[in-house]
Amino acid sequence: MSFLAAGERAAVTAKARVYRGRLLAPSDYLRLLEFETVGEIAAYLAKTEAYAPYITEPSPETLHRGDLEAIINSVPLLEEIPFCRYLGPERCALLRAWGERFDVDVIKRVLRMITTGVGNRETLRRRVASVPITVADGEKLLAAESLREVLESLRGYPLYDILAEPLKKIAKEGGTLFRPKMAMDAFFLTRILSGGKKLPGSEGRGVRQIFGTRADLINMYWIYRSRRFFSLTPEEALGLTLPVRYRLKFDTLSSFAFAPDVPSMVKLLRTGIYGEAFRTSGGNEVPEVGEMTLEHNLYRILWKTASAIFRSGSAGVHVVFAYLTLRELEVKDLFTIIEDVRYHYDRKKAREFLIHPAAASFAGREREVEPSWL
Amino acid sequence: MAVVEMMGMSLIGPRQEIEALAAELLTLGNFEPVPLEFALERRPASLSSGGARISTFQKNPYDDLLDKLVYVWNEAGAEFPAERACSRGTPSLSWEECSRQVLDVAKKIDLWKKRAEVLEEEREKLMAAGAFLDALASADRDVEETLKTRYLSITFGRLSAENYKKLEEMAAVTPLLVYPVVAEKGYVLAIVFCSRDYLEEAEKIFRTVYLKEYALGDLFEGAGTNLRERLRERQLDSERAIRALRDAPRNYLGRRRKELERLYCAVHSLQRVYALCQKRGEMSGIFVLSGVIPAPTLGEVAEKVEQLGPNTLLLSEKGAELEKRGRQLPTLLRNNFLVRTFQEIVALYSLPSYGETDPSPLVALSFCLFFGFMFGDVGHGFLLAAGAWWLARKGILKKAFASVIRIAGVSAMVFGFLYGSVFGSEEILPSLWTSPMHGISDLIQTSLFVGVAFLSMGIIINILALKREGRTGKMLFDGEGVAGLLFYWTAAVTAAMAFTSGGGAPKPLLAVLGLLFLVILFSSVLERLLFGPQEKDEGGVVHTFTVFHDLLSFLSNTASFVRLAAFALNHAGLSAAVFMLSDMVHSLPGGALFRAAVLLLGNIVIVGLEGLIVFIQTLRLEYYEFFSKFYHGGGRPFAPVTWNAKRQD
Repeated sequence: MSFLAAGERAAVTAKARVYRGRLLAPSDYLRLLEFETVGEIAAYLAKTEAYAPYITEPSPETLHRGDLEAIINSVPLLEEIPFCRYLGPERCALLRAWGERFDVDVIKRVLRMITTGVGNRETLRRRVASVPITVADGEKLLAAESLREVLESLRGYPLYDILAEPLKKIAKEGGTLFRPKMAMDAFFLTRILSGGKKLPGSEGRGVRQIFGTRADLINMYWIYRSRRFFSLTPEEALGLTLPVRYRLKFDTLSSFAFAPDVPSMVKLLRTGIYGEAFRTSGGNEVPEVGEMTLEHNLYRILWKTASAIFRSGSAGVHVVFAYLTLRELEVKDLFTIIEDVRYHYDRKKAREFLIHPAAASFAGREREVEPSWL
Repeated sequence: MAVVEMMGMSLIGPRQEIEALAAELLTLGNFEPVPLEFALERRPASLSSGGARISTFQKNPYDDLLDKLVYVWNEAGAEFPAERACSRGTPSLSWEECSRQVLDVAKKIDLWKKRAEVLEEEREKLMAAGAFLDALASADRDVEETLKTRYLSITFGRLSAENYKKLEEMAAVTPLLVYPVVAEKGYVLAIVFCSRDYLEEAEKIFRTVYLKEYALGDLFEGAGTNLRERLRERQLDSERAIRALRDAPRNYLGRRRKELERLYCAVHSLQRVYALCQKRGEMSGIFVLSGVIPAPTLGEVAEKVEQLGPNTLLLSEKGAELEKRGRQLPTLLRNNFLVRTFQEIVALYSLPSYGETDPSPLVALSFCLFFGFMFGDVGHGFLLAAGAWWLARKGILKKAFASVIRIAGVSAMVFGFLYGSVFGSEEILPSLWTSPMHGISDLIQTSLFVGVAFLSMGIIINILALKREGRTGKMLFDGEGVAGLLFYWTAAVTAAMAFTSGGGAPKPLLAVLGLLFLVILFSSVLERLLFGPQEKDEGGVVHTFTVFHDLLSFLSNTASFVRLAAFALNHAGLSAAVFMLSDMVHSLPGGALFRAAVLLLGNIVIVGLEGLIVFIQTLRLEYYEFFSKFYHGGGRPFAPVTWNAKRQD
């Protein structure tokens, strides 16, 4: 059995490493930022090894922003599926749980459409047609026109129990979708992390490293936002955290949440394990890091964590997760680029907000805005 | 046979006619819709009257209606109407009529469902109240007394086990007291105590853990001695009503099955028609539909247009024209049964791109030849073919793949007769040609000859493709063009003469080889001199390395074919080993039994393991040696819209 598991691990690791080699190079980012239209971006991506198999439109240059984003957004999910063929049920279930996070995105978008009227059902339909969702009854979900119908589409699936209460409450009393969304994210992270605990040695450690870090960053970020922007009480801020902990234990999170005021909290955060996210090159002297920079720094920490897995040279499903994380972050970078090109932002400035550190620093990146930990 | 020629086709006509024609196209299954600009780019005249006013569509208006009907059927828990039984045409119902009828039905189902949910909530609350009462009874407390505390706030609610843990964690840093009452199915019913001053903060925490609070005050109003009994009766009433409401959709569907099935068929048909018309253009009731069709079916379509669309204009454009404009056309392969089976092997590598030579017929031939050569054995071939047939019948193996293995098995049997080999024994049947154990030099010579023949065939196909593309210079002087082929043949003859005559390579042949080498090395220069500037130059260094690589690959590719003989010998050797092992155990006590077991296991290993290895080696020869000479692939499969596959687009 262990021989087979070794085979599984070696196969997926080799595949993940090959796929990693196909990710966009820093020069690609630079080229993409030079374009003037979204169509040009699509045409360029259609010629790269990383996106050519997915952008199959006969004339990619005619693609609209929404369509292109829909295509590239589904890439990490489409790439997850073939890995499963090499894996046994235990590891495949873990990988599926990762893919289900994207299915959850469909649920989130349907919820948003119902509550705000914003969004395009047709785009979602196409997305579900290309990658069927497994966490809900897809037909029912896409046809749902009320929160109750969304809930109905989840009946019989694990998410039903998680969302029943929050959604019924919103349907009855109104309110934002914040809590249901958090509940869904928490559900999948918990599943992956508890699945990761069952894996042996470096593989289990790797899975915990990737998703534990993610959980820590989310917890830290929400405490920060809750107190900094939403003026929530410490209890509420702490209550918003995920029930998953990695390096930031409950006591540490409580100390952040119960800090007497926001400046003291930021000070504590800066001295914490992930303090680099709250610092700029000015170190602790700079009063506070900007909202966008903070988000970008957090993604960089994820990027760094995933890259470290590749550097470790170990083999297993965690390497696949590391690759998929890098791919997911690459897609986020492409979204940033598409937005920059679409709205003709200053490209030099735009580079600062790319997650890929080499791409951001490529050709004339201003050093003073680069986080010190890079 | 091979890649079917495709055409661009557009239909411009009144909505009713186009709808009827779309239904026919769905039946023909030969139309892949494309955006208007794909096919009509060069047809401004056809649309000159209103080109600017054409509105395009992306959404299928019948998707939502069909979803709603699916919802109705799902709620009723009934089997869907067989779509094949629906008539394949355009129903006379308009979208508005369909929509009204569908919404009527869906509304009814919704109403019942909402009522059932309200009752479900009520039932849940009654159950929670019961659990609360039981907990108080076990603590010997009175209900009214407990609910009327002055300084203490008591909250009773339900939350997930995970969130309960979180609430417990929170209780460690806040003034809350948390107690579980009942824990089951991943949920916990809990009582939380806090001071009334802290209630506001506590409620915020309750929200973060999704505590579903039960306000039990009204249920316990005027609580008497038989309160528990009254709660139980109310709970039973709720359950009865819920059951009746849950059954209502099924009963409703049962009463109006025929009428609803007709509606389902109508909506389904229109959904398919509009799946085909989804990328249409529209102007004042005139539909413009563009797509790609296999060229041989154009006549059939034209006939249909004549019958059903007197006011419809049919425009067509040759595939080559579309290609010239940079449009990538889909690939449709059409081969006879035997060759079709091997399309899978080609598709496993990559589908031929439109206009490329379909290698399936050659693969069919070479696959059988290579596999049979390496695995030639009447008995093992039979087992392989029979095993593939049985596995396909049981649904374990895909039919197409099983067919490939079956044919490979038959080929192994044919070669088995040529080798005179049955289950590894070369003594039962006379050999019609040679035997691997005794005629290894014959086998090596034949395998090299087969290699030279197949590689030459690959290069010839490449030469023809280059000619078709008009790349004459490359066709004549490239390492994989005419010069390359001549070099390869000359080298093969030189090597054969050098090995057989013992007198070394003939000098005139060496001179020809040298000349051809120079031609290939300076192919870009010759190409430019004779035909003017051609393709983008790849640079001197790269070109030189490419030439060396191409020429060396002739040697390595040809040598690769020696594996045909090597695996034939390997098969005979492995079989001999099994026989030797069986002879060794024969002298043991119960030897006959052991011998039979060794023979059985040995043959299973040979068929399973060696069969797999030979299969892989055959693929290797196809993909690396043969395909590398001419095949590029990268084709997109033709995906017509048909009556089936509701959402393929």
